[in-house]
Amino acid sequence: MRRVKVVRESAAETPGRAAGPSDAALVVAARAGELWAREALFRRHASRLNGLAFRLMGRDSDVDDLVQDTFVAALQSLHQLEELSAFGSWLASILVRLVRKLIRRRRMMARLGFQRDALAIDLDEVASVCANPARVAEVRRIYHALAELPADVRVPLVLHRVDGLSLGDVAEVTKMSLATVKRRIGEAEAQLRVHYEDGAQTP
Amino acid sequence: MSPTSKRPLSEDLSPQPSEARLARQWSNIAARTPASPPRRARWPLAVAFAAAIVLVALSVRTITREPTTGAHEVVALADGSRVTLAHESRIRLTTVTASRIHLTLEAGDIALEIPDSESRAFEVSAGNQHISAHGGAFDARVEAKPGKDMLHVGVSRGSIQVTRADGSMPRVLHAGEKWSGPIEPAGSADRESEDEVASAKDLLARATEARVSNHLMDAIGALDELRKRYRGDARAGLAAFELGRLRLDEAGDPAGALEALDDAIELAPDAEFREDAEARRVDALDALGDARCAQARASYLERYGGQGQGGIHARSVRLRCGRP
Repeated sequence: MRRVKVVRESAAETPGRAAGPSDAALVVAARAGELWAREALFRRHASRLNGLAFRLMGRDSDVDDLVQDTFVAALQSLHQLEELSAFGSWLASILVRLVRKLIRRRRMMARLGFQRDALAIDLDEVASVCANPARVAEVRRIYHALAELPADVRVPLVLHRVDGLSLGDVAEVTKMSLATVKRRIGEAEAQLRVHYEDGAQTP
Repeated sequence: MSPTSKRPLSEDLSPQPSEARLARQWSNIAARTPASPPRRARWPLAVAFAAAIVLVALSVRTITREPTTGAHEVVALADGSRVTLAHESRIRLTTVTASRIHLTLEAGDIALEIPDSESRAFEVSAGNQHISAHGGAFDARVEAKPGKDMLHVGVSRGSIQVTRADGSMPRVLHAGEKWSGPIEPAGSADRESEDEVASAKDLLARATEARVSNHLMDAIGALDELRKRYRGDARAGLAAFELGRLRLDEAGDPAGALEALDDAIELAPDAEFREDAEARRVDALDALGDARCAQARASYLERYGGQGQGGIHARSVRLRCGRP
């Protein structure tokens, strides 16, 4: 599997990273049933996964369940991981799959008249998390538009527009073809342009 | 506007979960993924280093490994160091921090390749002999002999320093040089210190295991013992906080929780769980109907409840102490 930098790392996010064993060594130990190694993998990747879940959902209330479900799925299928050092990217692809599934399920429930606000993006919460005041308006515009997009468009757009992944990396992590990713991000960008032009989306 | 041509928004949109939140998440994950017993004989060194990263996070410094079986084992650390442990060797990894890795060689051979770094020392002890390097490649071998074991050291790249454990008798070996010397037992004071750290680590591990297996009182007992016996230990504050959380959320003991949370704040006033501890303190006082609840609530809101202060419990705390 090509290694995709799904969640960008900064030095501040990974203190002491260089001091420990590699992901591959931890995966080997975790596969052997060592609880310490499992927790070490969680500790190493949890912050970045929490951030990705938050950005994909646009609200905090689903983050705990998504992160937990992702790690449970990963730990239960560790034996399927072929490139041990790509654990982080593999983890992110599991999270992306779960998010798409959750969005699709909730959208269906909303169509049936249940849980109408289950996919609502909390614009104030997202804006309050934004550490750069100069970019709050951009964040608001993107997330305002996101709420109206289907899962298969919303997820690639966040990965591309918010996390800064290349189209090829988005295709890799979402398991879509590059052509599909291009088409869907194109659709999403068109939606975004409508929001920009309307000018009514900035609260 | 090209989305990938500038710094991604994700760098400004990455909320950092609190330590308490991560602990809750891990607790739930561990409960849903019971681990099968470790196959230590197969991956002994990898397991040792896996444990080490957790020890780094907790500032714990000791772990004991069993003798290896089979051929050489090689573990590559993320900083580029490579540790090769020979057949039937025995090591104890005692310290792993950003500035120091220290392990004790009890039997057999070990070979190390270490990237050059002024800021980080790689140290190996064998009895009263101590090797220190900031880069290079060397091997060390303990030879069991009747009466007194011998340490043999050889350097293939860079230079290392060999001293007695008390710092006496320093000698520097360069690439191509070898040295051998007798091994005396290490000082008892060091041993006691390591045993104490090991005991604190064991208590935390016992608490984690008990919590995951739903043995609540055992977990509470271990955490209580840890914070009382090892108050100078880096884990004491976290243990007190976890104790307060368990007493409040799962044991229905707000008075006990309040005492533990106060202790957690005293032990680790600047810890990441400080906000959670203060919010839970309000919860405990509220549950007790204690008149100090309003003061604790006001104190929390002053510190975390304002615009831009980002208190994650502000909404629930505002509803405590009889407030609508």
